[in-house]
Amino acid sequence: MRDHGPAVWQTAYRLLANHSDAADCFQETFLAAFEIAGREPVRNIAGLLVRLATTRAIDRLRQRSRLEQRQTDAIDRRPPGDEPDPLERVHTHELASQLTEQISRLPPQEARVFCLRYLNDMSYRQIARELNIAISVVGVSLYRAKARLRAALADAQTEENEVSHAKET
Amino acid sequence: MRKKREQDLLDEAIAQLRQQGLSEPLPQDVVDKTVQRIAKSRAGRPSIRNPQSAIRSFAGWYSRFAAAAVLLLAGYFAGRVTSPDVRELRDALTPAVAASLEPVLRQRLGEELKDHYQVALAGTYVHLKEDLAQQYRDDLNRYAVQTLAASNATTNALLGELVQAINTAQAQDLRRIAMTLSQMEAKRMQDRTQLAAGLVTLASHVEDELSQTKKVLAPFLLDDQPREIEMLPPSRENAPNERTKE
Repeated sequence: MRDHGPAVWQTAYRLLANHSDAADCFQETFLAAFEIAGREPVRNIAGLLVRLATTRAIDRLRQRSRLEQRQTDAIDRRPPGDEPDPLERVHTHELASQLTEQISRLPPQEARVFCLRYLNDMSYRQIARELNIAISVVGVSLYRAKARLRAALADAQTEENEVSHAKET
Repeated sequence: MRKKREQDLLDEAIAQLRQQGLSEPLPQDVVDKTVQRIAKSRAGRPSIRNPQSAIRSFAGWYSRFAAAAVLLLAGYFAGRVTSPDVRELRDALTPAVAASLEPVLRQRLGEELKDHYQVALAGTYVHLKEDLAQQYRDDLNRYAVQTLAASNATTNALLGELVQAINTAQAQDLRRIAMTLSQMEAKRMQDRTQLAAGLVTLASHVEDELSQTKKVLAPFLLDDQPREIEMLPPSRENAPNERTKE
């Protein structure tokens, strides 16, 4: 836990951005990993932990998104201290928040592949091995996920621009 | 153009999301709770593993042993066919087989022991920490109770001394007041006696003086009786001068 705990915590916190949810996800990840290690030999414990943490964090994110409980006071995102401009900070927060929201709306496998590739820097081969799928499936899932996210983010940005323009006029 | 902008937006969002979790350290309480839950789950689980996994593990080992036995038998028969010296063949094969199996067995045993002792040590550490914290709290409570009792006893002793001192002072004051009152009473009695003696003396002097005056005035009253007294009407017989005359 000393070796792999920080990576698991970062994976969970990055997606959930909430201390209690990340703590639950952390505990569930290690419990599941111990269960799996008791059943069968594990060759790559780091990959297993990251995969489990990502899966659980996405599940929790989807639950949260479904129940529409994303209230701003429940989310304790901490703004980085080296960002002096409040507008930029709000923009950053908003963009990352939109991305996690759109990830929660992706199909589960695409969301997992996207997170493992772009948030945990795993190679196609590692992702394929961890998720027990073919490398070509990884590539297709990643392509589809990126296309969906790109479109969704662009739509969200356009809507935001229209709202701000309407407010200004 | 639009696709490029969308790609930039996605890249920016990914970069920002990657930055988010970096500044958040792993809290120690989360680690402790996780270790506790793992220790509990391991304590609640029976020591014998899942039968399916045990069967699978046994089957794995069995297949390895079977393969090794087949290899040995094949070698044995090949040796018997090719070479008549069985001892040499056995001597040659035994170290090779032992050398091939020993590292795997050692590694497997080492991993099992490491997992087992790591979890046991982590659970023991958490229990020890809780026990020490509890013991510390108990000691602190006991010390607080003892200190309070000692403080109460000291306060009671001091209060007793204070009450005794007040009583002593009051008794002394009362004694002094009684003494002063008795002195005043004695003085009063003495003054009264002196006054009575003085009054008696004064009365005797006054009586002497009166009798002296009477004696002096008596001849005058007898010799020079005024005419007016003689010319008084008879109704005034009871006048003092008349009576004096009689």
